[in-house]
Amino acid sequence: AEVEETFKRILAHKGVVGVIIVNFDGIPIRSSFADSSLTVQYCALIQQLAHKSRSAIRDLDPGNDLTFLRIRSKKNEIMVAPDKDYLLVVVQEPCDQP
Amino acid sequence: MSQVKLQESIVTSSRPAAAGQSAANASKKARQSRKGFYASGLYASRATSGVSSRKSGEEKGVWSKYPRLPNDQGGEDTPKPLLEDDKKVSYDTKETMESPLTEADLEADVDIEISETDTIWLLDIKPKLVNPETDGDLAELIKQRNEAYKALLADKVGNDKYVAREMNTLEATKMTKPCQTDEIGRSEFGNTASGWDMFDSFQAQLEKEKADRFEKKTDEELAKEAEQQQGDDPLEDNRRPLEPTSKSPAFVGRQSTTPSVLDSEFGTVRESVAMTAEEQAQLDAILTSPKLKQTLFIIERAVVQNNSQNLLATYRHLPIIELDKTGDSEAEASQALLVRQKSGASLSPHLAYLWRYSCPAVKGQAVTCMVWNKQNKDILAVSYGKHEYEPEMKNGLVCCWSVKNIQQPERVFRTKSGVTALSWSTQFSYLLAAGLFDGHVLIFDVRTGSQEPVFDSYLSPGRHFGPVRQLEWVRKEAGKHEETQEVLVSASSDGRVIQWSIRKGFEFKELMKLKRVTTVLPGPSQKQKQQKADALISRQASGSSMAFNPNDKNVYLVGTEDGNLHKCSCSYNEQYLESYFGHSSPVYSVKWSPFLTDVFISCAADWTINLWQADRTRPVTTMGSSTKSINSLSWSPKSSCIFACVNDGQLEVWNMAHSTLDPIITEPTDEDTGRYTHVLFSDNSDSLLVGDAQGNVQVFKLENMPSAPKNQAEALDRVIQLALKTELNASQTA
Repeated sequence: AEVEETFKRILAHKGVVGVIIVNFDGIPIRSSFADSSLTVQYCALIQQLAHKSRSAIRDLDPGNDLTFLRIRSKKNEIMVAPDKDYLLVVVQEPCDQP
Repeated sequence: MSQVKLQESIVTSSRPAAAGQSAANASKKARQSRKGFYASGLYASRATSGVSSRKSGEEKGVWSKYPRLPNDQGGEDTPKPLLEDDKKVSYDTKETMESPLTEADLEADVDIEISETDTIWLLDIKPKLVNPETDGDLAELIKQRNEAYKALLADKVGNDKYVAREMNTLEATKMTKPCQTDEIGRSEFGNTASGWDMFDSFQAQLEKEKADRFEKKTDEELAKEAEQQQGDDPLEDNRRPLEPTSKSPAFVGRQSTTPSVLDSEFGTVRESVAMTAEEQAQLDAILTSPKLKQTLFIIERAVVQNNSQNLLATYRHLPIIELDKTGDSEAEASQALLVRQKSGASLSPHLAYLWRYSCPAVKGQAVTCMVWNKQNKDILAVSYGKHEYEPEMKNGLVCCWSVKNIQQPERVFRTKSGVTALSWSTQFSYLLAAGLFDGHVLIFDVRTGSQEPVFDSYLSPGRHFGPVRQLEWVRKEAGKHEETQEVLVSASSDGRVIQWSIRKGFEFKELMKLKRVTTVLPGPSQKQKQQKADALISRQASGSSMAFNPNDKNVYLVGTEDGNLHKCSCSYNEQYLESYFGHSSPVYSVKWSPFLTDVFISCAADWTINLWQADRTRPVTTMGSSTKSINSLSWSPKSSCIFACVNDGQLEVWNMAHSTLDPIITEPTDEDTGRYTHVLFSDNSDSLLVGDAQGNVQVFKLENMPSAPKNQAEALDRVIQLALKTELNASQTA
């Protein structure tokens, strides 16, 4: 319930385009995108990227691990929080008002 | 055993027809005899039928299989195989079987007879027989020749004429014979093991060894661990370096093959294939795991910080980055900040509004106290409640806000009645003490966020009977056998100052009973004088504020509702060390100066702020600018002469070095914010926090403030000296 509440709150914030929770197989568990093909696209691409960046971090130092990944692009920002069994993706567009 | 002589089967090319017949006869014979026999090699029982159905080599036209070598006479010179086709063992069992094998046949017993192979004659020259009676001359000749040969043989041994000589035989022409086997199946497998793969597997192994080494563990615990490890296994597949699963790092990004249908704007993903109970359980496990909560928490912070980037940058004294905006909306606040930063506008000190901490839960409740966490200066605890008594007691709230998330409080604690005092512990930076309007003292552990306080004084006999006005954690110097422990001291309107210790349970010790002292005119201070004219309701004064001396933890100041301030010591619980008279109404706040050890400042409901020195019972100077009661004040941590105070109508920032008659900044409140109730400086940023009666906490940035004097103590001292001089002058002239 708390998870749901926080989820809704994040969605309600200004500029947030969507939130996706992906499990380790690459299957989206929760998504706020109405367009399912977009969700699947995000899942596949972001998961690959997260794996790759985690590989890079751990190759540099095996004791280290990836905790957060942020990709800023011209149009929006994608925030990825990877974990052992899931992946949380939030897409936000920039705007100044809190 | 039939011996099929090779020479019989060698057919000279000159007489194919006759040879064929003889061969056919021979083969017929051989066939008949062979029916009961197993030829060379191993045949399955079924093969005999196959053999009988075989034709001889010629009838089949076997020669066509091999490269033909016709000689110049028109015949065939093709070399024959060593073994006849009949004799060959066929490895292609399909040809020998007439009917396909069934399962039963595979199970059935197979009889295998091994027998001697046929003798292969390589050379057979028959002796020629000569009858001496019919061919007498021939016989004589042959006899002579035989004798001569015998003599020759006898002579040969040891004779020089004969030399043993070796000869090489001619090399037979070789012929390559191709044969084809079934295609050997090949499959390639590859995997990469990255450095951290190996690291992970070694770690797992080490941990397993450690666990095994623990002998104290019971079997139950070991079994539990094994279960846990098994439960982790499907997720650990990523780490195992040699397993060729699709989850290994080499095979990443496998696309989901099941199409999924999404629900509404915020919904679960419904798979077109019904999920098994196991998968559902796994999903639920993910959704309810505490890790997901933590991750969401962090992401929310990130999202909010993105939005309020400029405000936070200002708060932290970082330059504001101007982003290329694709949207149309531009916040006024950040724009104003940008403008100000660029132009360096007005030179006078002023406040710039940054943001406000507000959420629906706290709307309508007055802010009663705000404190920064001692360890993490970004965490702010705010208490909500009422200062005055109300017929209907509302529930109180304590919220922990953070600079990192300005939209949502990170912790919310609900209490039975309004909260009037707060304090963070120094020793355990996660303990937050809250004093309630009904006199109780609660201690919360903010790490867990659970609603249950760690300690509460509900059952304690020493609890307060009136609202707790001030709480403070004090580090006590310990006795010889104790370590420095921190105690919580509370001052309340019931006139008692109580020390609580949390070492064993929640113990209390009464530090002081505030007694009423009558206001004395300038002269030697007196204690415990009862004025006969006044009918006192109680001999106890009610404490309304308290402050411990930052240098000497044994000494503290108490302000009472009578307007008197008293200096007390923890060692004496009967007498005051000193009393200060200057206010005529309840002292709402008293604070020691962070720069000068014996200077403190107090504010009261009588519209004045008094600056005191510890050894003078009269105030050094009195400040006031409005006709409203002053609710709270706070010293600036950066500059010794600056402090801020709030009264019902406005926020004032004073600079004593500049002027003690007027504040340097005033910020009036508007209708929707209500009256200001509490003010607090920020330690790590040039900002000011103001709480009001509507439940908002506004954050302002101080701009263009005079820079801090090099010697803070000296600056404040100078102010005091100046004030004293003017006072003396005034008293002298008067």
